[in-house]
Amino acid sequence: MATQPDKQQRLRDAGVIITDELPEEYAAVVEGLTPDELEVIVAVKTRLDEAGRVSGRPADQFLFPP
Amino acid sequence: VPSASTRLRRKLDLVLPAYGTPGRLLLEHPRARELYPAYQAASSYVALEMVPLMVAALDRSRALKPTDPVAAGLADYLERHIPEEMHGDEPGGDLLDDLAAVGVDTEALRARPLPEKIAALIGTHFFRIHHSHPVTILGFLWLEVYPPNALAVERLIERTALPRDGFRQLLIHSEVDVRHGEELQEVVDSLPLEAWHEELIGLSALQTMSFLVDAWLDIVAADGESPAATAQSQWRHPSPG
Repeated sequence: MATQPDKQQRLRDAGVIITDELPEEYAAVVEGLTPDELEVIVAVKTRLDEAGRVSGRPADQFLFPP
Repeated sequence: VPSASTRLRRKLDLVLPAYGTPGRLLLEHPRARELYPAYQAASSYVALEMVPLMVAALDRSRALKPTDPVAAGLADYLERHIPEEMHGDEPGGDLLDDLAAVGVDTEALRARPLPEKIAALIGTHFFRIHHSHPVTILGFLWLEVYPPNALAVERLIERTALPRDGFRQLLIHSEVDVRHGEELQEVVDSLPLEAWHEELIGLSALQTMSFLVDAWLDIVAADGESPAATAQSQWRHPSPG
């Protein structure tokens, strides 16, 4: 199972987390994500990226924190 | 220690910006009038299956509740909430009326094979209700924590110039889901949830929101020749509005 830094890094690599330091309360949430939850979140971001490419319209406002 | 509903809300915060993106794209889209019926039709599957899923969860909760306090509390909540979510003589019937008002052929919508992604979402929930725990329904219902924005709906009505009757359910939910969302969070906090219950609810909520984002993007961010756009157009009468 991925460790906390691994999970944060996965979300950073996917462009879900863009802040240098995640607020403590959200770091705890990320730490508690199951592998399935992590993959759903990454898949949503990937889908947004794809939509932006296909449509040529900005669909990439998937930035954390909101 | 944050409450269960706070933990769940923070988890969903990770996809909340994405959940709002398709609606923003629709509002700004030059073909918003043309796309709105298909956009709302895509949402309709969730609305149409919400009550049947809740009924299944209630039946399972009643069976479990003699030995399961989470199921007992869930049954109490669902007995109250199912009538609130009927929205018509048949579940979701009022939404179908809205769709018809903007030109969607609702008979065709119901007769068509269920799109694979929604079939997977609904089937997964029925499976989890029966084989994991009925509390998973709370994740499906978590959408009520994020009601439509009434001002945005009004802007959409103005921008599309479609009949106001096509937006009745959005406007109703912009009000009632504020209360429903609060009640849902209270229910989550009132149940003696264990970590695995919370994980079940969280995954269900993430998957439901992910499905909607995907389905909506198929409409508002697809090129005109995409299979999704073609399929959506087949739901419509020739002359909406």
